Amino acid sequence: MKKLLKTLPLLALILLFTASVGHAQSATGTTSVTVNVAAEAALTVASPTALTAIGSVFNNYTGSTLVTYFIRTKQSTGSGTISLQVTTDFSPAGGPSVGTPPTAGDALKYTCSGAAPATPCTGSQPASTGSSSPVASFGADAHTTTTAGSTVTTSWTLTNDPVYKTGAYSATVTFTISAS
Amino acid sequence: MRRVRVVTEFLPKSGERYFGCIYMDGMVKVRKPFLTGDMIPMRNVKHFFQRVVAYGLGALVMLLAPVGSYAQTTLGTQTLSLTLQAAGDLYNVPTSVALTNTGTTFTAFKGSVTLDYRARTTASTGSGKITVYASTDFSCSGGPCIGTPPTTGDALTFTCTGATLGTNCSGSPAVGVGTAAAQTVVTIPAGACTGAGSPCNNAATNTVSVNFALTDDPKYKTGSYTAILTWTISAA
Repeated sequence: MKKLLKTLPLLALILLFTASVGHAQSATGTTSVTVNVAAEAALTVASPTALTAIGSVFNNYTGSTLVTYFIRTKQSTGSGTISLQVTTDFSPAGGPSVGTPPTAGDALKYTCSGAAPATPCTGSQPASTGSSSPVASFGADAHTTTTAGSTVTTSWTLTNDPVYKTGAYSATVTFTISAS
Repeated sequence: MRRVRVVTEFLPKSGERYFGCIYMDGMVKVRKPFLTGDMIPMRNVKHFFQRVVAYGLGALVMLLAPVGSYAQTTLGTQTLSLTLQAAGDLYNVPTSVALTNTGTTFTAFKGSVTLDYRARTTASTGSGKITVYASTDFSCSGGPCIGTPPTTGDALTFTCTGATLGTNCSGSPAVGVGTAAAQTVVTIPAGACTGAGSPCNNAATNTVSVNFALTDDPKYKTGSYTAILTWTISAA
């Protein structure tokens, strides 16, 4: 009985404190805002690109395409690439063709140029309908640092084969960017 | 000293500490066990009875006193008064919110929280508000930063919707760092109160949704980042 009388006030105090804490009310409160920043990449392509030949001696057709991109790769182990592929060959028939050129050696080729964080492709690369071709590569912790984005340029060369019938021809080239 | 002879003894019942024994004039409970034939000092027995009689009479008096005092006189009156002060409280504030984005095109990271609150403001002249500020910024070492963003224009902004008491914030304010940079989430007018019935006519607990957006700057290094926001409600 004596022990009970001694513990009753303590028990009442505990119950009072529990009631106030259990109500979870306050004039202030805090919230943690968390964000997981992952590797990302995006690009836009200036379209269309017109290929033109200078003069009238069957000089090759030339032109260039500007690719604007934004990229973020992982800090230690990240990487990224920009590649292209001719997803729709020239049409209509009778003119140039990437997949089945009318003359062996006819080709659509390109060279790459651009500044960091990209490492542009080297040399003259053949465009293909069957597989992708490299445009630029990125290493770990690569970032676009301007709000306008970063750029690479592909400079095209298309054989001016006299076999081509006169007319307007177009093909579709798809650029792809990836980052990890 | 007079002694009485124990006529019958019996053992204590379960839980009782006393033994009982009966002598010629009555029954008494004693601490020590006595056997039939033992002589109990009468003084102890007598005093016990005296106390029993005294306590019994006292209890009887107390029981009868209210009956006897039914005819009472008003001694005085007392006026009870209560002044309700303006008040505001936040309830069950979400402990965390994760900002996420979809796709790979650097769209803003987004997330939402719902705040529960109750408020009472002074009629005619009162006001109240809920505010938010960043009490701890992101680490800012390569990632998002509220105080000094890596690119001008990077920001943690928010919109407010669905306040059931008061007015939502307008536009997309940017969260600031520190109490001086606190932004208003809800503005509570004069004479406002929380309650489902009259005169408040809103809800047992009021709510507001706060929707966050954080710029996804390509400059941010990959990784996880955390900031802490502090919400405050005030009422006058």
